[in-house]
Amino acid sequence: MKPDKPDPWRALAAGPVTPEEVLGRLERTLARERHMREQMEVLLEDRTRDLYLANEQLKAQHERLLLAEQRERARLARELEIAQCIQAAILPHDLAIPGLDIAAMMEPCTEVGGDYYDIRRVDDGCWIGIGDVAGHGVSAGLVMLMVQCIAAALTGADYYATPARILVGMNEVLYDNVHARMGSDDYVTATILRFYPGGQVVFAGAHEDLVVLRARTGVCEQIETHGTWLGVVPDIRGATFDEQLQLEPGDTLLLYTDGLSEAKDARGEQFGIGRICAALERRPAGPARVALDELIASLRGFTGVLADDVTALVLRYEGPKA
Amino acid sequence: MKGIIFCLLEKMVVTNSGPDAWDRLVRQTPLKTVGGGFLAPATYPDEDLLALVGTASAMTGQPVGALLRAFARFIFPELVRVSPMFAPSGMTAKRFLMSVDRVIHVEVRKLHPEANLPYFGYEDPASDRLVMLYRSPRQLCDLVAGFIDGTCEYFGEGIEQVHTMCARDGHPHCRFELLFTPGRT
Repeated sequence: MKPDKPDPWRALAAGPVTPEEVLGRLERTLARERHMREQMEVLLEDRTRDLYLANEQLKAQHERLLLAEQRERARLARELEIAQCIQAAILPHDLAIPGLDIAAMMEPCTEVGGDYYDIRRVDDGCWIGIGDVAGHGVSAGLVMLMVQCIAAALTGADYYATPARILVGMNEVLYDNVHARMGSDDYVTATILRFYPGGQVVFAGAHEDLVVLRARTGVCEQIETHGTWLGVVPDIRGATFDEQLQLEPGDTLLLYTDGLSEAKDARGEQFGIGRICAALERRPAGPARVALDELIASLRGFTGVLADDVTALVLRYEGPKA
Repeated sequence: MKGIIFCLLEKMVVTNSGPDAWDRLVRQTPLKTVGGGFLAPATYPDEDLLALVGTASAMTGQPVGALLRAFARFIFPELVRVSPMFAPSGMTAKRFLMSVDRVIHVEVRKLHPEANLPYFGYEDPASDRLVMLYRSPRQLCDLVAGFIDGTCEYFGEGIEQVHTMCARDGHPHCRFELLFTPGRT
């Protein structure tokens, strides 16, 4: 208290007290303490009951939240399942192209993958596309769907189109959709190939090297793909051009994504083009499916868990059909 | 009224006047609380506080209002010690007083939904002035005046307060016009 405001309570101070008065005070203090203990017990009981009720409410709330979370997870899982089904459904089912024995596999490392492949039959041969959207997961899967749709529309619309012209058109739409509209930096690497019954293959785009197992030598040949990524710049005409290769009867063309060549073992070593070619060379003849199974078995023996989407197409040229 | 107020009253009396003074005060006061032993977290009748102060008034010859005001001055720093988060460093007396209704009582209601808290309204006519309106069925405006004293002492500020309107005179609320003066130690 400030000295300028004397404490009015100080006047309560007692004068000298007798021993009897001190004793009486002690007795009363003890009685008060006893009574306070009783009050404390009641308070504790009340507080314990309150805490129990609060705990029950919290548990109920927790269960409600848990249930809501489970429902949300289930909903997301269902949606992913639907996306997975859509992606699987648009893969080519009819691989019967005259002159070609084809086997294909695509295995996404998550529910939805970012790899692309397609085979579209035309009167004289077919269009083949293979590609990879940067990253994986739902976002990459959606871009992959765009790639598939654009390629299908463009190859179907213009009989005389070349792979380079298809890629230029694909890039225009992808750049507008992914870069300009979505504001995303996703990009796509893809190669588009046009197969003719005489074994001629025209191709364009920048993706993994093409691998051709020559029947004549039993040795694989690597063919680089020159071109540029899709979806990065609005116009790729200056960097996109058609090249061609010739398949002889019995030759095998392998197309794949980097999930195959860059798959790693426990030590971090990549599967690599050497092992790919070795696996292919072990099956120089016979059905394309057998060659593909050999390749995938070799991959699975090398790596434990796939860290990226893997796609592979084996196309064995059977020669011109009458 | 929460038991902490009774416990602080006991602490003040014992600190200032000794344990015999508290014993005598409790013994001479007709309390509803049996034995006069108070626990901080419990709730006791308002009448017990007024009865204790009334007895103290009779014993000391001091007006009830003066005793309540002095009591509030005493307990302010004690309450801050219990809940220091409401008076952080750098705060001023004016900001603290303005936070009573808008912050402190909001938090008190979360812990004690049954608490019967007074209402405080504010007018802010100037940076060094504040008008506090107090409304409570208890009409403990002397306690409010003491809290204002205690607040300014705690924050090292001077205060001139005028109680210009009182609910006990039939007004809807009490009105305290405050002028904060430069700090003092």
